[in-house]
Amino acid sequence: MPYNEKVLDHFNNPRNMGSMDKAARDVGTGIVGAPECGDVMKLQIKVDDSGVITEAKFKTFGCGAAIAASSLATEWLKGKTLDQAGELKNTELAHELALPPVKIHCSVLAEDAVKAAIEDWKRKNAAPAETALATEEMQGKTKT
Amino acid sequence: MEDNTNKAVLTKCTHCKHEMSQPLLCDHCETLNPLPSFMDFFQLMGLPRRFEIDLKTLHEKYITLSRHSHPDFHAEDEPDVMALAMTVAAAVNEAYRTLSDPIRRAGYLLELLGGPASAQDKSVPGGFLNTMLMLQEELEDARVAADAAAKARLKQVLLTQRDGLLKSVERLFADLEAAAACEATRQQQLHEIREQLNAVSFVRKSLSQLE
Ligand code: FES
Ligand SMILES: [Zn+2]
Repeated sequence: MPYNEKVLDHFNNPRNMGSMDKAARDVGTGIVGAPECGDVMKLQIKVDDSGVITEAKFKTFGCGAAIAASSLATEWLKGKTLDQAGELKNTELAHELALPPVKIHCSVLAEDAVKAAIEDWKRKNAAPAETALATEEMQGKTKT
Repeated sequence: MEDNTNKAVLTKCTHCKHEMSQPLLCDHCETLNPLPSFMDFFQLMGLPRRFEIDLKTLHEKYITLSRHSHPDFHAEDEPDVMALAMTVAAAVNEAYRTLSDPIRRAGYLLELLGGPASAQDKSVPGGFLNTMLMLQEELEDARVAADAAAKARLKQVLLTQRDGLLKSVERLFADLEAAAACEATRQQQLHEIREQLNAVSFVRKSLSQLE
């Protein structure tokens, strides 16, 4: 088994479990779920004025692999810019945690949560003009 | 409503050559006929391919087919008949397990009708995951505090939610049946059923934690 100490530790002592204020402007929240297994994950990022992630928290109601993947993802996110954060791939998480094929969707969940958190932050912090545009877009979407 | 999905599999009995009114089991000589490879669970159990089925008919069919495919029933038979019986028994068990449970039946029917699997379409109704997360948090609190009353209340909430979702699944399948829609509308309807079923899967997971 290619598990090393550090990785095993994400299973046994997950880092950054918890919540931040969902309403705060500098906090982005992603809530995602895996219908295959019914697991739900919340991941939050706090972003400073220069667009760097200073804090990341998660709450995962799911399997050990999903918890380890979110723990690893939140550790990795700290200090990254939003653009860098957006490049996180589930395959990296799965690889580093040596997840077996049946557990790949657990790492996908973590990637989706990161993406959703970034999107939420961007939505909250978009310039007024962009917000209007985004709203229009959303309305356009719901109409179809 | 008339359903003719079963007519396609009608054949002659391999043993007595009589025309069979149902697949698999000859009504004339009761010989177990080979399992057509294209037969789905609804056809296997002699039911119309729809969400609302008669559970009593399903159960009776299950009993009959199980008896006729039981190894004891074929103890004296040739090995190939024995092998056929085993194949049929396995298929009948799986069909019964799938069709007797409304959630499994809905998922199976959805894919049979060309709808997406949960791995392809993960969407849930808007705001649903928020609610689920909230319920999960309450559930965790109730567990930590060993609060039986809170657990019972949460269970009730989840059961109500599950029943509501299944009701709308039933309605969506009925809509789908009622009107021959264009392909785009049909795909949209199938997607909506998937959404409800995905939601059910989250509710079911939470319920399992309360057992
Ligand atoms: S089993 Fe579902 S997230 Fe891991
Ligand atoms: Zn016959």
